[in-house]
Amino acid sequence: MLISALILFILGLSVIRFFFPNITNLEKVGLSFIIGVFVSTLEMLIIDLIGLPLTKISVILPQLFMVILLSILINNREKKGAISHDIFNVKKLKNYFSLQYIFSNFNLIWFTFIIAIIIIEVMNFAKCIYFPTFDRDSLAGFDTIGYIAAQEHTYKNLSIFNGDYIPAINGAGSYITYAPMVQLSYAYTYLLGAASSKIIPAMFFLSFIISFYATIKRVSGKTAAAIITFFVTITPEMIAFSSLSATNVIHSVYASLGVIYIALWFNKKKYSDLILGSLLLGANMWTRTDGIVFIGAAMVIVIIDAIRTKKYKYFISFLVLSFTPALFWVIFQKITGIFAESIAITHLFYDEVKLMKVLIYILDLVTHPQYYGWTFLIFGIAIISNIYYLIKKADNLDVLSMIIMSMVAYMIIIYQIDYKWDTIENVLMFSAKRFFFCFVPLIWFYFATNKITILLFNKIDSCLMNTVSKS
Amino acid sequence: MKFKVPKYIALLIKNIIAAILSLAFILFIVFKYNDGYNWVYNNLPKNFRIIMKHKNLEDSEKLRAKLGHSYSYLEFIKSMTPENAVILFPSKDALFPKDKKSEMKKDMYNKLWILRFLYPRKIVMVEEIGQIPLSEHITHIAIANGKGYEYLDYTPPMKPDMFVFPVISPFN
Repeated sequence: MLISALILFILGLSVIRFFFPNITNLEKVGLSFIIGVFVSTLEMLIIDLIGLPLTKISVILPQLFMVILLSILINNREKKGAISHDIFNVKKLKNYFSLQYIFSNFNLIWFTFIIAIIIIEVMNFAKCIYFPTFDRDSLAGFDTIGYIAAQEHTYKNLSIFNGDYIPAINGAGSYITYAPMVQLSYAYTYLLGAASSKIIPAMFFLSFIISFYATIKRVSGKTAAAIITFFVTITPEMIAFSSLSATNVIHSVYASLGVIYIALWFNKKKYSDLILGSLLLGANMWTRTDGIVFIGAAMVIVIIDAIRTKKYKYFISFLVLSFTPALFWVIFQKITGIFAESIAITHLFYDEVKLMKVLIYILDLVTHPQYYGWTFLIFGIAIISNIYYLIKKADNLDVLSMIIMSMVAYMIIIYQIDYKWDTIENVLMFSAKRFFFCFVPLIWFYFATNKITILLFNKIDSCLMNTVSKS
Repeated sequence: MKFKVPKYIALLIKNIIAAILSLAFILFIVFKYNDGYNWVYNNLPKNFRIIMKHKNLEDSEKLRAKLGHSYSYLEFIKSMTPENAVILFPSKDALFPKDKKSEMKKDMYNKLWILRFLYPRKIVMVEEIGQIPLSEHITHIAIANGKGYEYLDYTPPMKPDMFVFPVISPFN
C-alpha cells in the first residue's frame, strides 16, 4: 500500500520541481502526491486508449523514465545556477536553533494549532487506512471499478462495462461515465499489489492540509495559516468523509486548491501560479465533471484580467490546461463507446416548486452546524468585517466572486438535473451535503486573506514575535 | 550576536499566555459550542482507541465488523465456488423476506457492490434470467433464507437456509 503512495509522491515531486521550481518547499511537499496521482491516472488512460494492457510494468516504466528524465533536467538547470532547489539547506540549519530565529518565525499560538492539526490528522489518517473500503458508493462504483480494472488490465474493456453483463451500466446516474481519476488511482494501488486502496484518500487529505496551510502562509503568515487550516481540518462532514473512498473530498482538494492558485496569480501575477491553478482545475474536472463550475468561475476572473491587460497568453494557457483532461475523457468515451443515459436537462426551464425545494434544502444544509461547523457563519462575518476594504479597494473581490459564481452555478446544476434514479429530496438530503466540501476551504481562504484578517494577524504576530529583526 | 534577555523573556511570557488562551479556545469554545466540532472531538479519539486496541485484526474481520452478515454470506459463497463460477444470486424477496427482519445490507441487491467481494466469479441476478447471455451458463445457485431451491434440478439431501449449490448435482 505504501509503495504506491511513495511512487506517486516521487512522480509528483519530479513534475513539481521541474515545472514549478519557485513555489515554496512546503507547497512542493503538499502538492507532490496530488499532482502525482493526476499525472499517473492520465498516463493510465492513455496507455489503455492506445491498446496496451494496464500492468505493473506498462504503468510504472514510463513513470520511472519520466522521473529520471526530469531529475537529469533539474540537475542540469541547477548546475547552470538558474534556480536553486534547496529543500534541505544544511547551511541554514544552524540558524534554525538560534533564539532570534525562533522568536522571529514562530509563536506559541501557531505551535498550539499545529499540534492540534497533527493530533487530529494522525487519528484521521489511521482511521482511513485501518478500514478497507466499506462505504456504499465506493463498493458500488469507484473502488470496485478500480479493483476490477487492475485484475482485467484494462479500463475501456472492463467486463462490468458490458451491457450484456450489467444491464443497468448504461442507465441514468451510472458510474460508467463518471470522470475516471479516482477509479484509476484505486486501480493503481491494486496493480501494485495493495489489498486496499485506502492509502489514496488518506494521502489526499494529508497532502491537502499541507498544501492549504502553505498557500495561506504565503498571503497571511504562519499564525493565520495554522488557525485557518485547523478549522478546515475539523470541518465535521468533510473530515468524516475524508476517511472514506468516495470522490467528494478528493474533488474538493483539486477544486479548492485550483481556485486558490488562480486567486494567488490574480494578486501577484506569478505565471507559475496560473499554470498550477489551471492544472489543478483540470484535475478537478478529471475527478468530477461537476467541477466545471469552478473552471467557469475562475475563467471569468482570467478573462477580465485578459481584457484589462490585453494579454491573452494567460487566458489561453488557462483554457488549454483546465479543459484538456475533461476533453480527453470525452474523446476517450466517444472512441471506446462508453456512455450512459444523460441526467442533465439541457434546456433552461422554470419550475418554481423545484427551485424553491433546491434553495430551501441548500439553505438548510449550509446553516446546519453539524455538517460544516462555523464555515458559513465565518463567510458572513468575513464579508461584513471586510466590507469597507471590499467597497473601497475591491479587496479580495476575485476570491469572493469565484466563490459566489461557482456556488450559484452549482445550484443551477442541481436544479438542471433530471432525477431519474432517485428523488430530488433524497439527493438533496443525503448527497448534496458532500457537494459543498469544495466551498469549505475556499470560504476559509477568503476569510484568511481578507485585508482586515491580515491586519489582525499582523497585530498578533507583532505582539508575539520578534518582528523587528524579521528580515 | 547580542540578545537582550528580558525582551525574549517578555515574548516568552506573552507566548505562553497566548498558547493557554488558544488551547482554552479550542477545548472550551470550539469543541464545546458546536455540535459538529464536538462530534469530531469525541469520535476521532474514540475510533483511534478502538483501532489501537484491535490493530492486529485481519481485513476480513474488519469488513465483517462493518458489513456484518452480508460480508459473511459473500465470503461463504466465495469459499464454496471456483473462480470461474457463474452464480445465480438470490432474489430480493429471498434476501429481504417480508415476514422476517433481514440482517443483510440493502446494497446486497447491487451487482457491482456484490462483485467487489465475489470477483472474478460472475453474477446473474434472478430477474436477468433469459435477459442476459450469461444466464445460459449458470454453474451455481446461491440460497438465501431457504429460497432459491426452485432453480436446482435436483433435491439436495439437506436444505440449509443459507448455502450455495452447484447446478450439476454433486450427490450422484
